[in-house]
Amino acid sequence: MNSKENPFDKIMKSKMENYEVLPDEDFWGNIESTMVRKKNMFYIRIVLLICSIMLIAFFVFKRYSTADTVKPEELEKTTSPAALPEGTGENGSGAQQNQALPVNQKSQRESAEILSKQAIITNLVDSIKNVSVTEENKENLSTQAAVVADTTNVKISAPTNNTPKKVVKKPVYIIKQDTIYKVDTLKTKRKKNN
Amino acid sequence: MRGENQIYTENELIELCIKKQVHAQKCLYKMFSPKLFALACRYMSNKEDAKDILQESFIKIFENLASFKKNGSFEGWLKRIVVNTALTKYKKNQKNIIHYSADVNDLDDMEVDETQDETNSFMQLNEQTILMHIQLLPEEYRIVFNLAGIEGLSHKEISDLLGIKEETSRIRLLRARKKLMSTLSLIHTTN
Repeated sequence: MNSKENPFDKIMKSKMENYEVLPDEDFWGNIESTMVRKKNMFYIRIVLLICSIMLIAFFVFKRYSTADTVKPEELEKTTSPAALPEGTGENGSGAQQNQALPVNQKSQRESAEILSKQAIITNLVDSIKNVSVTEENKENLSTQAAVVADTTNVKISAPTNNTPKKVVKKPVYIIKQDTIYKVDTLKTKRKKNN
Repeated sequence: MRGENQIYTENELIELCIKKQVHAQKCLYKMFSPKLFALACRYMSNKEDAKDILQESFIKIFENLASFKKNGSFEGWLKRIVVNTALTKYKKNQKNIIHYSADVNDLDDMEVDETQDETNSFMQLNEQTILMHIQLLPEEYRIVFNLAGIEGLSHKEISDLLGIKEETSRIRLLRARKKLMSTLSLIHTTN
């Protein structure tokens, strides 16, 4: 049955269609506060989003900026004399030291070696100029020459009095925070003899 | 700029509300809240639920005011929002409702022939009483009675809206009408 034709429905519709009921006086306050709350939540969400993006960017930047640096603790462990392996030979010490140090420190070590060799040579030349050659001086000079020869790999003719060759180990220089440290490998050998 | 006590035309009010002017929104609320609250009370069983529906409806109205096409009735648009909000709440609560079995054969038994005297008696009842008795109806009858009896929707439209069969919609309307007529006529006789 069509509800429009029903007289009861017609009466109900005529009565209720334009009927009004007043809500409470403070009802508008509820609506207003809900709308303000929704607006504030919107701004809070935007601020949280921006902060999270900045935080992620900060961590990503920090990770990539510290990737190439070497920790000082790692450097100390590899450079301490106790850390050097036993039985390091004349040729082996340099090579093993190279293995212990990080790759990007090799060039620094080599440059330090060159500088030290140059310093030894200049000192030797100065001493030779100033000192008259005596028997004792000859021995000292020969030993010093042998040291220089070993360090610079330059052959110098041995003195005629055939003094025994003194085996001198190659000094190893480590650069740490712009300071050059000399590692005395003889100490380790002495420990071995004892 | 006009203050709170100034009179606005409907279009002016809509424009200001779209611009989120608080005094215009309050003005719109004062203009339409009595009718919309009565509409919400018809769909709900008590005033508290009707207040929730009204609050939700006004928030939706202010948020979606820009989408209102000015060629139609503004009041009709507002009422549709309230009705849709009420139906959304009804659908959420549907699992808690006891669904009465609808037998098509009951249709003939439920048809009530009104007399002219009864029709006149219903005319004398006040709106507050009628509203109170509509609120006392079971929820599923009340919704269908409001949609079909008062709003004038067809049973096909109601079945699409509520997700029920057309026969179910017809039966619910008839049962609602029968129940309402019996309670209202009882009041009239006691008066």
